[in-house]
Parts: sequence; structure tokens; C-alpha cells
Amino acid sequence: MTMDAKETAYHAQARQALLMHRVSTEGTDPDSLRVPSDAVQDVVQGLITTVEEKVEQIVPFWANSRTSDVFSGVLWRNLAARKNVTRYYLVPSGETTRAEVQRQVADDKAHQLTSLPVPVSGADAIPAPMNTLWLIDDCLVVRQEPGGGDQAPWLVTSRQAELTRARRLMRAAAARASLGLPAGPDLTASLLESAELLRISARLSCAGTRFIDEHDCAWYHGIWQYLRLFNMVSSPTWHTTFYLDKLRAAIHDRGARRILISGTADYTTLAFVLMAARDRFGKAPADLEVHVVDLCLTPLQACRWFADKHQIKIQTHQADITQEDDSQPADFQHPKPFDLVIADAFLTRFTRKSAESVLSRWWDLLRPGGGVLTTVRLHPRNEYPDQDNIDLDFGTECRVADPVDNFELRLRERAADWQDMLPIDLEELSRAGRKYADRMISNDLGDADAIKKTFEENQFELAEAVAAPVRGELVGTEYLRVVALRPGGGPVIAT
Amino acid sequence: MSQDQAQDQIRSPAPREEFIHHRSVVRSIARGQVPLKFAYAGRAAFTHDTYARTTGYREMMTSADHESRVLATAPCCGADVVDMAEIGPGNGAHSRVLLEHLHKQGLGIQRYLGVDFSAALLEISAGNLRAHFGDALAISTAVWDVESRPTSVIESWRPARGRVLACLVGHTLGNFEDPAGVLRNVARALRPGDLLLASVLLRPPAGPDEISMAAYCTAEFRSAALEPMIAVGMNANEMEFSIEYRDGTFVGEVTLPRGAQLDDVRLPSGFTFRCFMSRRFERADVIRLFARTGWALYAADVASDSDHMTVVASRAEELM
Repeated sequence: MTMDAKETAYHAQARQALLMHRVSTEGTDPDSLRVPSDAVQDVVQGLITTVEEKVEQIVPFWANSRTSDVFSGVLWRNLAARKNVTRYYLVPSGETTRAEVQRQVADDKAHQLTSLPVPVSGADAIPAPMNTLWLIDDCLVVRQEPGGGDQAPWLVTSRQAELTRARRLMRAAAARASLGLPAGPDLTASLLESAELLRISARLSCAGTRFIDEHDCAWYHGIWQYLRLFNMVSSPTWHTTFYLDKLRAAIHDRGARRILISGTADYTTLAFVLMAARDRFGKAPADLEVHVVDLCLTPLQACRWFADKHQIKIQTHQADITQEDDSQPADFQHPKPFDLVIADAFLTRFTRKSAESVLSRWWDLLRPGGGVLTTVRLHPRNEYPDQDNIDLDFGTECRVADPVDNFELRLRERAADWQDMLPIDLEELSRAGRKYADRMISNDLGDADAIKKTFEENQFELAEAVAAPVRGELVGTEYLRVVALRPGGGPVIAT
Repeated sequence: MSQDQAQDQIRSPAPREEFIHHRSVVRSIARGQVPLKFAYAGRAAFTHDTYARTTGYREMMTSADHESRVLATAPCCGADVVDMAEIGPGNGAHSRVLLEHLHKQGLGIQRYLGVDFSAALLEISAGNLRAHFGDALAISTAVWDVESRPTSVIESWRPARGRVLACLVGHTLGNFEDPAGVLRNVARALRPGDLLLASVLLRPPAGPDEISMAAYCTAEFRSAALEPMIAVGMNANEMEFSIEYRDGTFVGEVTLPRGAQLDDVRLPSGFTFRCFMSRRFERADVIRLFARTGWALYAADVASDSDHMTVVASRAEELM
């Protein structure tokens, strides 16, 4: 072979290797290009010369983001002087960087760039992508792919499905920007902060809660807050109006001051109590006493973390609520009667017999006229996920029939867009989520009538018991929202 | 002409293919692990064809009926799907049954692309399909080592419009060295929105005692498993072949009682290497395997009377 022929052959091999490298990184889709992160500024320089009318941008803005360095550069500002540039800053709801966001918005305005802060949570119906996305002239999408942090490649695409998704995300961002604060406690930022702390501490502090798992409840408490973040598990947020209305009425209208949270997976119920306790000036009654009792130390630590963060005093008790008073630890023996017991989705942790012990103990702990606020899952109302309304271009949830598979896939899909904000690896989260779905036991306490009867047989008067549909953890279901009173004194909640 | 296109045109006799893979097989033996793909290349393709026609193998073949039903009822599937690219069609027997079942389910595949590591096996499968379907099915083939890299052959073959249905059935996925790498390569060879029909075998819930070894205890299977070594000059009578089930995987190993010399590689007496591997999956692993390799799952169904799991997925936008 001549030298020329050899050179030609070598070059052909090299070109082939390069082609395969490009296919490996970019795929074969001709409508999409993947650009390395260090080339994105060059892409922007090229794009701004071609913009005809408008650019809409979604830019995550959170504590550790570099968005202000990267995206407030002179390029977009220069363009904003000539074209319509609108930017939505996605801020995890409850984020403490609100002042920074407002400064950024004011700065943008000074440069004719329209920007709006948009509070987002992992539970939003249209999942917010916590990676930058631009929609240019309504015909080109440029976005950073999730999962690689600042080094992740950028996708430049004109695919119809991507355009449709981007348009819907922009509409959703605009709608959210105009909404007020959420009805319930704004916990997304707190959950982002504490979920990993609890996951780590659960390994040490979950010694086993016999009603969840006889040997170790770390699989439950350790992953709980991540599941909460993405609205995968039952929490008071599924019954926001019920809890807030009843708590506000009890605290502000009926003078409830001693409140016991009985069984809690984290601080969400506590956050509801504190939110309801505050008046319109943000002040809670000075004599409010909030106690939390749970068999496991981990949720008590979560409550203490939250209380410390908000500079509130609470009392926690590691105790078994099914036990008689004399068997309780010293700090929970013969307590002063409580005005209110609040326990979200707690009774189904127990068998019917043990649930009666819980009700009996609550009765003992309440003053005459004191009340129980709780929700109880109605197993007979379980139903399987509806697969009819699948949007192939956008929502991808509820595709597979097996509830545990479905749970894991839903968790992965919801967490995927947030993975750059999460301290846990997506694979680890996925495994832990499946373990939760596999092992979690919710006991069937019967239908609404059976549950009402159980309360009544344990000497409670039912002030309210209304069934309401919720999305459910593994399958759609209904919960009975219960207000039960210990007869005798002035009722803590109007009957 | 790209290398892929060049390989597409390989229609040479079996010995040519063996020559191409000779060094790779020798190196694999020396490393102690021979990928199963070599057991289908060159002359081995005909041995595989013989084995695939035995009852034991057919019993182990996954149910085309289940695959077609799961696909047809998946929410992402529609009658617009008429172009199928099958990865690893074997001798085409399963492909034929699957195509017939799909037709019964209202999915009339009109164009078919068979892709495989083995040009010889592609000739066999395409021949069988042509003999059965005649002009009713436009059949193409292309050589692609799905374990090594992505390919542009599907992109070159795909229609101007519409989705491609890729198939990875008959438990092919369990026979790869790196199933996740394969699924990533397949994702890169397709466009977002294209479909993937895959099937795997699951581990028996009651444990390894329920696993049947019958399919692997035949002379035909032994011959098929030893073909790559015979092709590089080893003597079948001087290889002790054994197979066992370990941690969810059937592992076939060869031990050399007297050692061997292969080119410049000396294999000592007692040297043992793996020449067969076939995984049984856990259900959760299957779900996660697809989810983390760039696929959005639309169906994942385990047949009620077997350990056969069928998955229908769509290529997601993100390349994992």
C-alpha cells in the first residue's frame, strides 16, 4: 500500500471513529443537537443574532445555583434591549433566597428584561424542570439536560414534542407566577434542606418501630422526606383545608392551647399546627404548647430540627401510644390533659385491635371536650391507576399496571427534573422508593361506617366524618376526615 | 461509504466471519470470558440454527403471544407502527411467530430490518422470513454489534415519517455482557418517540430450585456453546463443558484438562473460562434497567403462567 493510500485509510478510520463518537453522545436524531456545556456561550452568541421576535426562559434560582453568573450576562440583556425577553425564575417554594431573587428581578428590569419569580414544588401538577430552558421564537428549544450539574450537555431541538412541552411549561410558569402563596405550609425548601439530614440520621436513630417494622424503620423514615418532596406519600397536604380550618377554629375560636401530635413521619403536621396557630400578624399564642409523641426518635428529631429553625419551643416524647399511662416514659406519664390530638393517616398503621388501644389512649389524654383531628384511609375505596388519560408528549405517569413498579417510575420521573438539586443519587432514591412501596403496610380498618363505629365504641362523639378522594400512594383512594370529641366539657371544635 | 453500510453488505460465506473474529475470540478466551455473541457468528450460526430447532430451546423461547398482546395494549402503540427493527432475530423462527401475532393484534408490520452481530445468522433468519412472508414483508438486514457501540443503520433504514418499533425479544437482553450498555446503544440508534418491545425471563420467586436446566443439558446446546472455541482451532474433545445456575445467572464454563496453544497464547492445563452466560432478572431490576438507560416505560407485564416479562418502552429525549 502506498503512503497516500495508507493516509487515506487512516483518515477514513479516524473519521469513522469520530462519527461513532458523535452518535454515542448525540444519538442519531437529526432534529436534536447536543452541545457540550463549555460551548453553550458560543451557541448563545449565534442564537441572539437569529432571534426575530421573542425569547422565553425558565431559569432555576436556588441557593446553590450559578444562574446569576451564567444567565444574566450581557448577551441576553443586549438582546432584551431589542427583542422581547421574558424570564421565569423557578424558586423552590419557601426558599429563603427571596430577597436575592427580588434583587435579580429589579436588575433585570433595569435592563428591559422582564422576569418573574415562580415558586415551585416537587408536587406541582406540571413538573417544573429545575434546569435552564429557553424557547426561542416559539420554534426552537434550548435546554440543559438534567443530571450532570453545570457540566451537563445542552439540547438544541426543534422536535414537536419538545416544543409542545416547552410551551406548556412557559404557560404553567406564567400561571404560577401570578398565584398567591400556597394554602398550606410552604415546605419545599425545608424538605430540600432536611431530607438528607434525616436519611442519614435515620440510620442511627431508627431502632425499629414495631407498628412499621419490628427490626428497623430506617427504610421508612429515612426516605420519607424525599417521598414527601415529590408528593408520593400521604401527608396533611392531602387534606390542607380540613386541617387548617379545624386547627384555626380550635386555637383561635375555642382557645385550644395544649396540642398533641400523635405519630408523625416528619415535621409536616407540626408545620400545619404552627401555621394555623399564627394570626394575621404572624404571631402564635404565647401560651401555645405543642407536644409530639412517636415511638421512633427520627421523626421527633425532624420536629426538633424544624422547631429550632423557626425558633419555636416544642416538647417531644419517645413513647408507645398504645401503652397504658403507667407504662409510659417519665416525661409522658400523667401529662396535663390536651385540648387537641392531631394524627394524620396514623390509625392504619395499626391492626383493628391496636387501633382501638390508640383511640382509648387518646381519650385518656384529652380533656373533656377535647378533640381528635385525623384522617383514615378507606381501603374499600382503593382503586387502580387510571391509564386512560396519558399525554404522550408530556405527562408520563401511571403507565404500568403493577402499583410498586408504578410508584418507582413515578418517583423517578418526578425526581429526574430535580436531580441536580438533590443530594441523593437518583438510583439510590429509586431503590429506596421501591423498598418503601414494597414494605409499607396500611391496615384495612373497614369502610367509613366501620371506622365511625370504632370511634363511637371508644366513647368518642363524632363531630365530622367525611370521605374525600385523594391520589393515594400506590393507588387512588379515599380518606375519611374525622373530627371526634371526648364528651363532657366545652367542645374544642364546634359540632 | 460508512463502516456500517460496508458491514451491511457483508454477505460472505461463514469462514470469512470467523476470520474477522478470530483474534477477538482468542483474546476473550485468554481473559477468561467469551461473549456469547461469538456463538452465533460464522459456522456457529448453523449450529445455533440446529439447536434452536430442538424442543428444549423452543420451550425456553419466550411467548410471542404475550409480547404481541402487551405491545398492542400499551397506550403508546398505534396502527401507525409498520416498521420493525429486530435486534438479534436468531434463526427467524421467533420473529415469524411474533410478526404473525402482531398482525392478529392489528399491527401490520410492512418493513422489517434484522440486525445482528452475525451476518451468517442474519442470512438464515432473513431467508426463513422471506420464505414465509414473500412480498408481504420488505426485509432488510444489517450487521451491528449492539454491545460495542450505537449504529446509524436504523436511521438510514427508517421511513421518512413515523415511528420505528425496535424489538429485543426472546430473552436476548439477558445474554448480553452489559444489558444496560446495550439499551443505551439502542436508544442512541433510535429517535425520541420510537418504541422498544423487549422481553426477558425472571428469576423464579421460589428460588433456584425451580429453575430447569433441561434446555442446557443437550448435545445440541453443548455444540452451540463450544463453536467459538472450535472456530479458533480448539478441539471439542479436549474441552470439559459444565453449566450451573449462580446468583440468577446460568454460567457455562470450559475447563482444559491438558492446556492448549492458541496463536501466541498458551493456556495452561486446568485453565477455565466462561463461554456462556444467560441472566434471569428480578422484576425491579428490569424496571430500573430501562428507566436508567433512556427509556420511558409504557408497559411492564409478567405473563400469568410463566416467568416471562414483556416491556414496552419509548425512547426518552434524554440520552442516559
